[in-house]
Amino acid sequence: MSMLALLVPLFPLLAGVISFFFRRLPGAFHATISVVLLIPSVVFAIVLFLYVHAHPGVVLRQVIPWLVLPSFSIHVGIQVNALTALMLVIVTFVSILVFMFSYGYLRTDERLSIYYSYLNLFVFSMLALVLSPNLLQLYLFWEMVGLCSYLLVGYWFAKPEAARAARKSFVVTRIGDAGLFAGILLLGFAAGTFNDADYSILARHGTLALPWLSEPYLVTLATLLIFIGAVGKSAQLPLHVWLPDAMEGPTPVSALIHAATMVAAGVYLVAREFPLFAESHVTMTVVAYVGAVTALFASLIAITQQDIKRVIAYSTVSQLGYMMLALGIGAYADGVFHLFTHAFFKALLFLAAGSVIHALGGTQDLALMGGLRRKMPITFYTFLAGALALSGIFPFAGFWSKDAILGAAMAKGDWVLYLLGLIAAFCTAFYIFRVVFLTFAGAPRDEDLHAHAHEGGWVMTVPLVILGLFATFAGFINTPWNDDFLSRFLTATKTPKPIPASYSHWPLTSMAISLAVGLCGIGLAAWMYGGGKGFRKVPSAFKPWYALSRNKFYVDEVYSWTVVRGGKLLAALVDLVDRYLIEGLTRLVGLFFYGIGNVLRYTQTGQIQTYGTFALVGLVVFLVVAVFRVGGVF
Amino acid sequence: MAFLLWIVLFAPWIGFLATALLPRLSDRMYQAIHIVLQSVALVAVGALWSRFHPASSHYQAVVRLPWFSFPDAWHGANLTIGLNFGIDGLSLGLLSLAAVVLWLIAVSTRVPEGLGKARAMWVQLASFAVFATFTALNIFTFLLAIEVTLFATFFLLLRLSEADSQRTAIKFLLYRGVASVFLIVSLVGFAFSSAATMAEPLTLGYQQLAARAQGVATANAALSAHYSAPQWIFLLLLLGVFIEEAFVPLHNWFPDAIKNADTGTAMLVGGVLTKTGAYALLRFGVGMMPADVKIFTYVLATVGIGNLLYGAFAAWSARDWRRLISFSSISHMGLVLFAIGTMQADAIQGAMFLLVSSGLITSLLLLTTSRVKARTLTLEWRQLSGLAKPLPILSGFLLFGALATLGLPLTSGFIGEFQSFFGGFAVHPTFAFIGLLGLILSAVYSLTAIRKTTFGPFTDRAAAAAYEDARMAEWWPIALLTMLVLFIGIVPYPLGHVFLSAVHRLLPIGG
Repeated sequence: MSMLALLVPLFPLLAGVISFFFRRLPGAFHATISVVLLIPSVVFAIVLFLYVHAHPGVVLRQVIPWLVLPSFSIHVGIQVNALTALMLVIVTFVSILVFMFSYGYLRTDERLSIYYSYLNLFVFSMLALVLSPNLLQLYLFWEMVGLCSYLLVGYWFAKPEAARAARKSFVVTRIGDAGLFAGILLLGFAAGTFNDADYSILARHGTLALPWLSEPYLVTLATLLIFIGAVGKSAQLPLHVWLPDAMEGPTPVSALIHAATMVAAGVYLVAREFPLFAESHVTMTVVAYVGAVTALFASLIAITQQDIKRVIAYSTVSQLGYMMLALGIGAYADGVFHLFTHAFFKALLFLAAGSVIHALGGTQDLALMGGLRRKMPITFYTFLAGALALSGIFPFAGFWSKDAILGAAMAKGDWVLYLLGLIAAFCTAFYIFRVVFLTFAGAPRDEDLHAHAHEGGWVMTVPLVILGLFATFAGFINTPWNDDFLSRFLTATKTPKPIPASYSHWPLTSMAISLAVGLCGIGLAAWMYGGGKGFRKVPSAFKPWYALSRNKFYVDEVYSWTVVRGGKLLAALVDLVDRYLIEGLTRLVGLFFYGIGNVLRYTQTGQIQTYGTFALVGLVVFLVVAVFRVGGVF
Repeated sequence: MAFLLWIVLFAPWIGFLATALLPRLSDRMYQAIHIVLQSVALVAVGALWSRFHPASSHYQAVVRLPWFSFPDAWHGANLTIGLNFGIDGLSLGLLSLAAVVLWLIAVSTRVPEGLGKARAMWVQLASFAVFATFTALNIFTFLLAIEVTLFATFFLLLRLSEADSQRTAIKFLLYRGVASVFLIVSLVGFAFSSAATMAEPLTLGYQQLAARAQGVATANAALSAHYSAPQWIFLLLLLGVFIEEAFVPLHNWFPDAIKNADTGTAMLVGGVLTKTGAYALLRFGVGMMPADVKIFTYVLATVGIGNLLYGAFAAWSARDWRRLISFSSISHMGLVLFAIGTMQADAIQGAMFLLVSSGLITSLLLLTTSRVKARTLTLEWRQLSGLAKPLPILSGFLLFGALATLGLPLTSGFIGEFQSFFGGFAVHPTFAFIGLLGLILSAVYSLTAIRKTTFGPFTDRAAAAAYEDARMAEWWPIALLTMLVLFIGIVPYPLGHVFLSAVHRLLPIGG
């Protein structure tokens, strides 16, 4: 079985290598080989999922030594538990659909071989990350995932915005990575191993400490540092700024980043370290509040964005906030459940948006859309399914998972978190249906673009339909009727402190409130934007608030004026010091030596003599010391 | 096994003599001799790997050439001075780095018209001297090798530099000449002081001096009157190391040398010569004066992290690739110093990894940028943009070099980096946390350079058609370095094993 797990990431790696080295083959070849080679990975992932389900609590593990430190050995390999098995299914399944869709979207691109090799490397890295048997390997592939996102966001490198967005995505997530790096190293040193499965046990026994930091503080510090890594990767406040810009990459890449391969890593990390996080009350509170505030904050930004991909991008930030919120209040299974459903409906929304963008010849501006419902029925109905799932409308996938989180917050009696989540849910329904109405309803605002719009062929519509079905029905994996199948699956793993399967037990009040709030949001969107109207009236009606949201609460500007400019100023200062102060001092010293040189070489000229002087000085000192010692002067 | 080390050392030596003595050959002939002998040395180093026993606690492949003897040199005992060579894990790692870089210089860098003889001669002399530096088994051999390196590199800079050759060469000579004086005084003083303190015969051999190190420390503790002498000696050693490693504010020679030198000499200086200082600190500081390293641990941490950040900020404000390369190297060396200063075994293993990695990555970037410059005639960012379009292969390698510079996992740079911080967090948490800033800054400056040169729209005023991407004849050496950097990053086990043995030698258990 562990052999099977090893093979899951190797197929995309193989496909990536083939695509990279056989540049001259046509694009269709690269698309085909990528999709075909990913099929066994999907199958194996499902087999592993069933295997883990049949053997609750099983952990498959296979490692080889990687580096022997003086302190201990580091291993690499694979490890599969319930969470891993679920992640493998999500990642491979979403990826294969994105691979397929990409060919339709980028058919005419010249660099498809590079595109598919990056895409495959991306999927490989994410799978290897998920399968990591220890935190060091996780970090290795955590960075590789970041690299692939950098490469793909900057895929159209000639566009200055893409070049900027790529660098921004790498640097901003790197800030988080520095935290994760520190957290991993602190824990590794304290525990004498990078095997994170041992950490929570050590923490329970109170043996996790450093010379300069004792047990409870170390756990809190290290988990907070690890959480910083997750904040960067999963685009939580205040490191969320890279994700909306990252949509400069091709749209299928956004689908992959937002659903399966990049931002999910942060949530996965927190879920993976959940037993350790649960040892620190401080960390858990921070996680919950960062998640809840991010959920609301991002959804407030999303309601005014005019770029269809930006709305969906902020929606991802917001939904990831829900997952963090769930993990922070201890609703482990609910958070992972939301990760699962979100992967399908978010991939769907991005691919459907991609279908629209493709149909309109590349425009992403909602101002130029409208009336596409009849032109693109498949895209419309699948997007609608995704929007309903995102809004949490019964019985779509998002209803179950989002309500499980809100229900858990309610059950815990944490009203602040619950309200933050509820308001965000209202905004969510509103902003996504604003997009639905502006894109598909009413009259076309640009007749020219509208006239040429068309569906993108089966390679694009088949993934949409499959994801549409999942966005509609995936929630049924975890309902009161099947006794919370997914929660039981996830919590069968043995941990020192048992993880509760579910907090909520599906209280009807919470379900009813969420549903009502969602419907209100849709209703408001219909009232303001239904039939494509209201597009121009709304901004002036809510002017200051609209501007605040539209400009993303000026977070980018604040960073630009503080951190970025501060850093550049410091760099310029160092440059000045280096070029003038130090260079000047050197010249001064040089002048001094030049003087000595003049004295010494009054009978000689040329460079060799200068050298000779120095060699001589060295030799003289050597001899003087020797003579003095031999003579017993010392 | 000793004969292999003979070959390593004397292949370039013979090459140097042959080139110097054979008059009036064509440039091609000189280069042919150079390539053949440098290849012989590289193969012999490879063979050393297969014969090396990491488990052994002795120096291996020992070669002794007794030279002269001072009768009655010290309290009636004779002092025999000779050229002794041998390897341990640390030597082998750095010797391999030097052999690879020097071989690449021979096979892959352009020889300026009419300077074939000068180049072949001085590079081979430098090569001999560098190999000798890393394999010397006594202080005399080490110091002599350092002096010869200085001498040969000076002539390379003087004869081959692309710009401002006199000033660059003399600056190099002044700085590193002073450094070698510091090293001479410090190491000779150390030998005498240890002999005096222990009342034992004077010796210059590493093995004996290191064996005494433990004893010397104990004796000093007992005789507190003698305490100040070793500290003073160590401080001089440190000064010498700081200059050799180009640490701020004593670094001024280094960016100039990298900027003005021809590609080959820049690779020699940036890839190999900036590693000798750290080697000396490991060999003499950690291995022979461990107590002093511990006393000065905060100095090392301050200078180390200071350089890590200074180099990073200076690299951020760089406007051309060469300056970026030199300051990123300084930044990496700062981390090495920090790691050594912790005196923590994992961090010291990391420092060794960093030395090899930094040498490879610096060479990789210098070689790649020289290929770019051959086409664009400039490495200044304001004149470059969107090179990925006309030069996809070279831009790909440039991107790889930038990623390796920022210590991306699965490249060699990451291994040493995480080990250094691993030990650093245990010993100097505050410094380590500040040093994390370097992790972010390295991403900023590397990717800024990439964004400004290879990304963006391709806007070249000159004839775009003249930009022809590198053919295999040009890029295979870069690909080779790329593979090495990846190999160490993905499979660090072999090199780590060799370094592990060196860490155990340098830091004896209980020491």
